[in-house]
Amino acid sequence: MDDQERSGIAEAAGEDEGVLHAKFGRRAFLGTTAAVGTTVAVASHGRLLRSTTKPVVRALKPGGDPAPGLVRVKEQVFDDVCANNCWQTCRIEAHVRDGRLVKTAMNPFPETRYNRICLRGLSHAQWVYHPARLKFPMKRVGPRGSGNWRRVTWDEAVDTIATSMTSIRGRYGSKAFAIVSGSGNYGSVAGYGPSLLANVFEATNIGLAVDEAVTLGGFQVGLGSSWLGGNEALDMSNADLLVMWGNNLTEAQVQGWHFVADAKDRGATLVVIDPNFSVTASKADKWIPLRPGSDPAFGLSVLNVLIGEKLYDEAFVVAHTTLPFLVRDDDGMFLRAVDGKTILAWDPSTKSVGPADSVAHPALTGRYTVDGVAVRPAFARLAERVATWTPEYAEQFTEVAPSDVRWFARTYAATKKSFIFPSMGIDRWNNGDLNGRAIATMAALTHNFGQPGAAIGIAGGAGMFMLASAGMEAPTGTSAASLPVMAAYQAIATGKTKILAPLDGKNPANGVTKDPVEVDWPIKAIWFNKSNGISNVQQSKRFLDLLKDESKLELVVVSDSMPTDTVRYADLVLPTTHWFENDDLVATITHPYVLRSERAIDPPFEAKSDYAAFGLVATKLGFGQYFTKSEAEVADAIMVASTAALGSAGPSLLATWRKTGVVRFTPPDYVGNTGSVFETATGRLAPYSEQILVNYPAGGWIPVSAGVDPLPYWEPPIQAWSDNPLHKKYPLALMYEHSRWRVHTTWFDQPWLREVNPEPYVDINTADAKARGIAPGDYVELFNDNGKTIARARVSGKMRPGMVSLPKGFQRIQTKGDTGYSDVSHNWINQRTMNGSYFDNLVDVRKVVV
Amino acid sequence: MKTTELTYPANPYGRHDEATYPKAKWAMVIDQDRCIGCWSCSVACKSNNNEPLGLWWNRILTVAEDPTGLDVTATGGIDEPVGEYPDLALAYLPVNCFHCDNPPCTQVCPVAATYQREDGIVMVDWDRCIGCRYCLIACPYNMRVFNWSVPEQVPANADPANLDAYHVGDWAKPPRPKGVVEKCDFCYQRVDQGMQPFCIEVCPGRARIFGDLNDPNSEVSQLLAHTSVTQVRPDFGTEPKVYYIPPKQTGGGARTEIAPLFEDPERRYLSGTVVES
Repeated sequence: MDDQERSGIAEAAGEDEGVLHAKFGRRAFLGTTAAVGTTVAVASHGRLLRSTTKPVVRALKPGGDPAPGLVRVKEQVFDDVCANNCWQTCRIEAHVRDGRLVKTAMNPFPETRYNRICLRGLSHAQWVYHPARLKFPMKRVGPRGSGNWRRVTWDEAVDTIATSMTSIRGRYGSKAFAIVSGSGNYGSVAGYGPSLLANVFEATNIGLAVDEAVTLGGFQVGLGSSWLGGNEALDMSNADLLVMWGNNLTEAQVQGWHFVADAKDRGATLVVIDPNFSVTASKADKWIPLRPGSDPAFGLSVLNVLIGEKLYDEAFVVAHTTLPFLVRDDDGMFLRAVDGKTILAWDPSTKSVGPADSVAHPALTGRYTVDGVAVRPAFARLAERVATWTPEYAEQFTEVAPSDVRWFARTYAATKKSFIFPSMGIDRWNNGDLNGRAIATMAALTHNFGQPGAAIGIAGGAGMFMLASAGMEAPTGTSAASLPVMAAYQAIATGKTKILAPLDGKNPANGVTKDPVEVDWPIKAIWFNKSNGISNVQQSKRFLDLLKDESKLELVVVSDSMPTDTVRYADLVLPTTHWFENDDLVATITHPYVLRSERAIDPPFEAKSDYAAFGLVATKLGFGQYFTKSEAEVADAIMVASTAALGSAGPSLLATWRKTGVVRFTPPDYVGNTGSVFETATGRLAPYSEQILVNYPAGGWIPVSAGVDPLPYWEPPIQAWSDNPLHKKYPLALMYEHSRWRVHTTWFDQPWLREVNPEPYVDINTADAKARGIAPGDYVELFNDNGKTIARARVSGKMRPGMVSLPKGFQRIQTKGDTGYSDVSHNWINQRTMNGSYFDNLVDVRKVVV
Repeated sequence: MKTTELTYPANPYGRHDEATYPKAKWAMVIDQDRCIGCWSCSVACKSNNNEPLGLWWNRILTVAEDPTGLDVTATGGIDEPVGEYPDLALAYLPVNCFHCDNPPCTQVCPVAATYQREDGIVMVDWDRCIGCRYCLIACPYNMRVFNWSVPEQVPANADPANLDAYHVGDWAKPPRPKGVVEKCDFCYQRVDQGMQPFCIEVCPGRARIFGDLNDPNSEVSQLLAHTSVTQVRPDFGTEPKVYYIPPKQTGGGARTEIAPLFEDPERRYLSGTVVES
């Protein structure tokens, strides 16, 4: 980084010395004149499978004096966990000499196939001892973001927060104080403290509103999608067909890759569906480079083939989906018997209706009239819906060759051990839930799930969802209000926001409005923890300007260990511990273990854990009785509650955890969705659904009779589509790469990593660059009506014409012109999904002089 | 928490040819099909060996049509596939010292500071190295790096004069002085205690294998016996002991033939003969 960047971060850190800049020569360590030569060995007899590390040498005998010329050196090795938002949740060996961390290493799992660590986890020492590490509480001097700070004591900091919370509650209500707990630390204790304070105070939790579109679509059908309905991650190695759909796991979830590689070694076929030629795509047997945002259309064309060529499992469809149910033509709801409950199907053998669960061979086609009501089986409605979506028709949307669609649909149907792993590439779109819907419908038609090697997504991890800390986090019975970040801008700016509301005014489980309703929701202060919200929020420039308007938010508190974009705009900064500086426990989705993380080193200077910081404020507000336990005691209490919920298996699991710090709740080789009853209103998978689930408010739904669509369908992206008039002005679709060099904004300034990845680059196609007079290496500005961001052009044939890809994670101070990558994203809200549509984005690019 | 105790040379800078397993012949196999170019092995090496800012013993090249290699800047080739969308192919080549059986570097050192152990590991004696850099020139693979200045590290080396003072990585890899050469040493201090080199155990793709060629049952021996492997420019006569399983999948079906790049006689980086048996 350059001097401006260095001093900027230094100012943010309140230090004279900023981040060490990396001095390195461009050619010295990377140039080579050599490359791969010719084959030397004998003809191949096949590839050996390697997914475990075997010892290769004999161990020395322990004990005794070292031989002359040798010394014995002791190290303390702690069990720690990388609690990062890559979800890989690696066990780390933290090696400590004389009380200081010297290195991190891979720490084995009981199931060694889950052994893992990566380039980021290997660089922890550079974060722990980063020169810009936040040391003590600081208050800003001058306007927000001006970069001047004065040190304050923790007492003053706590007093300021508590006073503000009380005052705001008095004037606007407790909901006007917001807590943003992000994904910067998945430790359960780290989450517990802020959650508890938010609940007892009845503050607002501003939630992330991301990663939820595809799951919502999957849940609509009843299969979950991605991390909550599938099989254990290592089961990918058992699949015969692997489909990475919007999934660049070689960079974003790297520890899943070797399972895919193992499957390929067994002869499995890897299909990658992605507009981008990612590293994952380079490993595919078949790469389907579809048009960005067109995935629902691709899904519909696959359904067209599955139904048109009768490739579905009819017995399963009849017994376990809603597709034999009769649907009323008038309102789209199921036909019910006079009891108002029993759903009916058409029995061709009696030429009349019967309870769907009792009719042996219900009709899947045909039109019928029952007591004057015109009805059709739901299957017929689905077939009619997808009939238009022939591969030839879909090609104008997807740019995928019809032969590829047919090949994929036929291969998927014929391969029982098909493992589809959808991920965020198809989630960050306004139409993202329609992808989950189409994929789950594919699974519902074929029954390609619920056995080893067959799944939609990975699951079986304990996950933060399974740890039963929720009850502990609301000890007074009150809870925080939840507001998605997408609706937060308006709440802060105007005191009102628009959200779907419960029909009865109280309980979303009784249905919600189809259209948003304006509600009063003033937000007058925010406490960010584990969050770099200003960096990551949609339309970040607009959000930043809102923060700079000091008439809106009275107090901005930021807890962090490093001077991020968000820290820069704080009124009050609290220094947080690094993950290895306090006890915690961490669980995830990508492996099944709950892991203890030990305090390996002391926090530096005055850094305190989030649990401790929130505890101090809670105590000031009169809630100290909930913060008397140590972090290790809280972790234990969470495990006591969680194992208690597991019945008779609980006590031995608790004992294992207490003894070893590693335990799993699910049986080995976990396979999800093995039962025949699913978590839908009817207990059957619902490609045809009587109601549409919404993401917010949680548990809300809209009946089909209100005019929402009961089936999978096509909706174009809200921005990044050529029909959009905006496309004439901004013709390039922008996607944000999740690269190997950081996890969102975590690791943003690791010197080793920045030697190889020093600054933001944007991938742009050779022709698109040439048309704009952009040469390789030029600094360019991505721009649209929301703002601009500057990066260096990486011009090559790699990028799809009409598209650009920018990695997220660099901080504003690391870019030329102090711009943020999210300055060009938009905040158009899909009320159904309430999900960040970061990739559904249009920009243009021009060369700039910096 | 556990306390571990490892045995190291009392003077890490000096000569260490007292290998525990002199009858071993260490080799590495790297599977380019599994390699995803993530740099985890490179960063593992960098951290474990306390390599200074600016120097890398282990780095990942992107196989490219440009035979002169890569540049970190956007004009370069890191992560750039070959071809034009959608007709693309991509493969990575992780490289480190090959610990050749016939190493040119040990033959040119005027002070015998670089030497080869009985088990094949090519080493550098930092007490003897005079920084003439003949070995850098002699290595045809450009795998050696040189401390042009006092090594800098983040977090900083506390006191290079004191072996027990803080520095990142293994105790046996203290800060080097200005003016010496350094390179991959197969983590000799780990191998001598029955462990694997650090890069081997971290690879997320399980693409790196290490072992003893003198043991016919070792995984490396088995791989060499049963799998097609390549080396980098074996025609130099260096007999490198790092082998590569070439990538078979590089292009997602659109373009899979990165292998023919290696057979094109126009390419500078290809050797003239194909050895078959």
